[in-house]
Amino acid sequence: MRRCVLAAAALALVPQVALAHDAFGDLGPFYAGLLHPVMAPLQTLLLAAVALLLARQPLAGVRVAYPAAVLAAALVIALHGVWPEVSISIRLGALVALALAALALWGRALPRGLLAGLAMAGAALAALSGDAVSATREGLLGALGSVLGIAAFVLLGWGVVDLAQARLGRVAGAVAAAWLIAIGGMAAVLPG
Amino acid sequence: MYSKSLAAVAVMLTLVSFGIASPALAHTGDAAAGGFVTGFLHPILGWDHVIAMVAVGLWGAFLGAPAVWLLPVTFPLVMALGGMLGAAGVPLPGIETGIAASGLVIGLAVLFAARPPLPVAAVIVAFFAIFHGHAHGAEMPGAVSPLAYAGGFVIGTGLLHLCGISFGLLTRSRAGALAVRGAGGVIAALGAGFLIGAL
Repeated sequence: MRRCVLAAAALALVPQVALAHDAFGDLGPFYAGLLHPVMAPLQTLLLAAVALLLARQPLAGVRVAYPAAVLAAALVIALHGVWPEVSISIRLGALVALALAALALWGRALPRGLLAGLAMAGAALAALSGDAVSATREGLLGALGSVLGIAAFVLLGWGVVDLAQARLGRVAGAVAAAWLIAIGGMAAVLPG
Repeated sequence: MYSKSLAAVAVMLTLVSFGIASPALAHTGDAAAGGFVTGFLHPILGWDHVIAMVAVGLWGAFLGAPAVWLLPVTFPLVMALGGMLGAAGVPLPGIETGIAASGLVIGLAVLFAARPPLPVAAVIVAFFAIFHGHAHGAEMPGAVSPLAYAGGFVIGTGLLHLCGISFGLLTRSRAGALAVRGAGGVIAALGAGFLIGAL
């Protein structure tokens, strides 16, 4: 009885603030990188713009642009580890996303080379908006997760918009493009 | 005797500790009140926004293609301009009046099945979109994650349009058209209520 009372008193004397856990907890570097595209708003915006642009283009162009975008993202993630001080501002990322979404709203088929270049630029900036990786096992796992996360996000985004357009018509993609332009435009006036 | 006094001291210490204990901040209001969810809920929990957004969708459905999609595309684009003004701190007079008037005007357009030329309908919707965007955008810089907040309120607004369009598709039947026009009347009445400050 006495021990219990003493323990209760001791515990009551040392109250701590209850800290909430992270949204996904500590899943390790691989899953942190994999989930980064859905956790970092700027990366989400850029990758959504890339996916939407691809969804508004003919499949022949997407077959070239998609792997090129993933390769560009992988290259930038690797180089970001070498130059970790390099980063992009929200304004630059938002303006690029806005431009990609505007092209998506326009909806005209772009030359394959231009489409690949635009997709690579968007994916590269998205990769740059993530955390720099270090040359350790954890860093390599994080980089691998990031590349896979970017690849999966763009592929899923493209698939969802493409499916919506197949069911509802191409105007579904135009509505999504208008949403992204609105988000990008407002983000572009934010400081930083 | 000794244990009783020890228990009394322990109880007293416990009570004092409760009095000076820090609150448990599992999910702080600041963090939750500044991201995607807050932005998403901003148009959805504001009835003046809700009726106007639904009315835009209803009117678009009433006008048929291509208005059914042109209006929901026009609205977020122009709303972004209003949001940029609000985020940049540029004042805009009569914001609440403009928001309330949007429900009244577009609600009346649905009630009376108004079918103006498409550019006229687009300009009316775009005009009111400025006020809605400004109201949302003015709160954006103070958000913990302004970009996520912007994404939330654009998507929330767009989904309200889609709700209106979905309901508006009832216009394909005669009874459905009456129901949609009735909904337009309700929206107009609510807009008038907001306009005169009754709601």
